[in-house]
Amino acid sequence: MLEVTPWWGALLLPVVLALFAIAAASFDSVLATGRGAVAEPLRATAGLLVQQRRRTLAADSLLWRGGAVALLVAGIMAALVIPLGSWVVSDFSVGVVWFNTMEVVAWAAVWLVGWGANSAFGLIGGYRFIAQGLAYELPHMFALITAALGAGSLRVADIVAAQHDLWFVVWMPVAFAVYLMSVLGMAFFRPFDHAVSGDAAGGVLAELSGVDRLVFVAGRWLLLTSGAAMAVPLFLGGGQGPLLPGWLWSVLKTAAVLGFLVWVSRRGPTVRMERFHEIAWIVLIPATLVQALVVSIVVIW
Amino acid sequence: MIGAVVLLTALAGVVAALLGLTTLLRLGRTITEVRPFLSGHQPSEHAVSRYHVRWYTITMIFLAFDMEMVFMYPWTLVVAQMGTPAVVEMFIFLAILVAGVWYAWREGALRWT
Amino acid sequence: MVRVAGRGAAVDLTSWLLRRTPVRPLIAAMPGGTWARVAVEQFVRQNGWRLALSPAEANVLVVAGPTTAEISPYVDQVWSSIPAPRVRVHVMDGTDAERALSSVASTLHDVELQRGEAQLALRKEGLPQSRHDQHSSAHSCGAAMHDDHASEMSCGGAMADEHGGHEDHGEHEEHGGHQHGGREEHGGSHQHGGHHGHDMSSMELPGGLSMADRGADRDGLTLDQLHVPLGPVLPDWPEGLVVHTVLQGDVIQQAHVEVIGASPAAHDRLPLVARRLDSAARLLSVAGWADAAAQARVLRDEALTERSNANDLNRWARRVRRSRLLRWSLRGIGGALPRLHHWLDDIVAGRDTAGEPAAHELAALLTGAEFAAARLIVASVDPATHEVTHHA
Repeated sequence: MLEVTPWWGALLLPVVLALFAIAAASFDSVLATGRGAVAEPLRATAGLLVQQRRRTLAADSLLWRGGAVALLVAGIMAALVIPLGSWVVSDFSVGVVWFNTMEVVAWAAVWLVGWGANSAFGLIGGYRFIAQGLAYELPHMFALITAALGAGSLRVADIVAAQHDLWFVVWMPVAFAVYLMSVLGMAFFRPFDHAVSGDAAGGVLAELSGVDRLVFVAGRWLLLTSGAAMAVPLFLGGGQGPLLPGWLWSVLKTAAVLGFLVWVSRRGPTVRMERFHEIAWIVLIPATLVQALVVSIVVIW
Repeated sequence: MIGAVVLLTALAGVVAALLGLTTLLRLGRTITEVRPFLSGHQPSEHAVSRYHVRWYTITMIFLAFDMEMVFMYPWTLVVAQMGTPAVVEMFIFLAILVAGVWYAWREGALRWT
Repeated sequence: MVRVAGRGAAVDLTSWLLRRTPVRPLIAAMPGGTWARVAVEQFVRQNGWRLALSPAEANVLVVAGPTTAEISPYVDQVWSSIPAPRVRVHVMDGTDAERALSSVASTLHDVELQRGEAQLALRKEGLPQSRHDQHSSAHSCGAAMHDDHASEMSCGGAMADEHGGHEDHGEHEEHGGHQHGGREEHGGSHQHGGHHGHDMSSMELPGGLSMADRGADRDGLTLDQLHVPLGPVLPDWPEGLVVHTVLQGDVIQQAHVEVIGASPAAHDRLPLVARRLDSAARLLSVAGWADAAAQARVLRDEALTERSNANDLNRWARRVRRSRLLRWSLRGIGGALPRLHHWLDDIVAGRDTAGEPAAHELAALLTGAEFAAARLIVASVDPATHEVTHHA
C-alpha cells in the first residue's frame, strides 16, 4: 500500500519537515506576540547565523556541540518511516521501533548539551530532562505498542492499512492522548519544558549562542514535528480520506496535530517532574496498559 | 535502508555546510573562556560534578519495564496467531511489574522532595 | 580575486542577515529601578521584542535603574559574556526608556559597529588583563552608542574580580575569582589532579577554578557541592537580591541572603494594584506560564495609566485562580499558592485585603528546597529589599 520513494526522496524529507517546523514556530510566535511576529523564527535564524559563537570555560566542546547535532539528526531521522500520503522514504519492518529509537537519542543529546557547557544551569537542565524521560518514555512506548498491536505489525504501512475501516484513534483514545502528551515531553516542549525553562536561565540552552543554538533549537522543533507527524499514520489513518489526494490528507492531519500541540502547550505552567512522576507511573502507565489489554482482546476475538 | 544512508549523509553535509557558512558570515571569531552565566558572579568551581540524582530509584523501576519492552515489541507480532495464551501471559507479567510499581509508590520512591 | 569577491558577498549577506536580527534584551534590574524596568518591559512589548533568559541568548543588555559601585561589577560581568551583535543601554527611570531604547535596533543592526563589538567581546575574555586595559577598551566601545547617555554606557567594563565573599560556607575558598590576578587560593584543587593544564597561566585547572568539593547533604550522604549565586542579574528576580546557594544536585543545602546596591532612598514602589500584578506576573513567569504572565504585565501597565478595565482584571484573575495545573504545581511550595491568591484578591478588590504579607526569613524558606521550588518561593515572597535587609 505504501510506495517507497527513490533515493532522492530522502533529500526531500528534511525540506518538508523543516517547512512544517517553521510553520509551527511561526504559529507559536503569533500566539505569543501577535500577528506581526509571523516571520520571527526566520529572523531569529538570520540572527543566529551571524551571532558570535561562544565557548564556556573548560567546556567539553565535543559533547556540547555534538549533542546539539545529535538532536537535529535524531529529530529528522525519526521521520524516515513516516509516510506522506502513499510515499515513504524507508518502510522498515520494524518502523515503529526505529521511530522509538531515534526519539530516545534525545535523552543523550539534551543531557550532553547540558553537561558539556560546564555551567550550573545547563547541568540542572540536563538532569531535569533525564528525570522527564523516565516519566514520559514508558507511557509513550505503551502507546506505540498499542497501535502496533492493533495492526499486528511493527511496519508503519501495515498500521496505516489496518485503519482502512476505522481509525485507531476511535478505539484507542487513551493511547492517542498519551502519545500526544509524550510528544510534548520528548521535544521538551511546553508544558514539559523544564529542561530549558526560564527559572534556570534557559537550562540546557543557557550558554548556547550562534549556530550552536540554531542547531539545537531547530532540532527541538524538528523532533516535535516528527512526533506530531507520526501520530497521523499511528492513529489518524495516515493519508486516508475522501476526495483529496493522500499526500494532502497527510499534510492536513499533520498540520492539525502540530497546531493543536503548539496551541495547547500555552495553556498552563511548566509541569515539574517531582510532581508528574506519580501521575506518570500511577495513572498513565496503568491506563495505557488497560488500553493495550482492550486492544489485544479485540485482536484475538 | 538506502534512504537512511542517503538521509544521514545529506544531514552530515547540511550540518557541515551550516558550520562553514556561519564561519563566513559571523561577526567575529568564537569567544573562548566565557564564564558560565551565574547572575553576574564568577564561578567558584567547575560545574561538571557528581550530581545528586535523587530520583535514582525510579531508574531501577524504569529498567525493569524497559527490559519488558524488549519482549513486548516482538510479542505484538504474534498475538493474533498465538491467541489467548499470549495475552494472558503478557498481562500477568505486566501485572507483576505494576505490583512492583505500586509497592515503590507506597514506599515513596516516586516522590523526592 | 574570486576569493575577494566571495568575501564581499559574504559581507553583504552578513549585513543583510544582521538587519533582520530580532532584538533580544536581557534586563538587568537595579534596586530602585522598578519604574525603569516597567517602562522597559512596556517598550519591549510594544515593539514585539522578546526578552532573553541568559547572556548567550541576549543581544541587548538593558540596565534598568540607578547603578552603584557595588552592583556594577556584576552588570559588567554579564555584559562581557554577551556575544556580538550586542548593545548596552542604561535606562535611569521610567521617563527616558523610550529615548534610550529607540536607537537600540539601529545600533544592533549596524554591521561595522558590531564587527568592532565582536573584537571587543574577544579581547576581554580569556586573557589575564589588568583592569586598566579593560577600561581603555570600554572607551572605544562607548562610541557605539548613539545617544546622549553615552557617558553612562561604558561597554566593556572591568571583569568583576571578586564579589559575594560575604558568606563563610565553603572552607577553603573566596567566592569568585582572583583568577585574573593569577593568585591561587583554592586549597581543594590539588586533590583532584589529572586535569590537563591550561596555558592561560600556571594553574592546574582551567580558569584557576577547582573542581566541586564534597560536603554532607541533608540525606546524610557526602556529595559534590556547587556554589550557585542567584541574582543580582537574573530574569524575573527581585532587584538587588542575592541568594548565595550551595547546591547538591538541585537541592539547596545552604542559602545566604543579602541585598546589594540598594540606594538609600529607594521609594520606587508601584501603586498597590500594579505592584500586585507585577508580582503575580513574575511568579507566573517563573512557573512557566508565559501567556498569563504577559497578560498580567499588560494589565499592570493599564493600571499604571489608570486605564484599568475591571472586567479584564476579573477575567484574568479567574483564569489564574482556576488553573488546576497551576494549583497542582504551586501547592506545598513554601506558601506560594496562598500568597498568589492573596495577590489576586487585592487585584480584584483594588485594595489591600489582608495587609502586607509579613516579611519572611527567606534563607530558612530556601534551605532544603529544590532549585525550581526556590525560584518559585522567591518570586512568591517577592521581598521588598528593605524587608530582607532588615532580616539579613
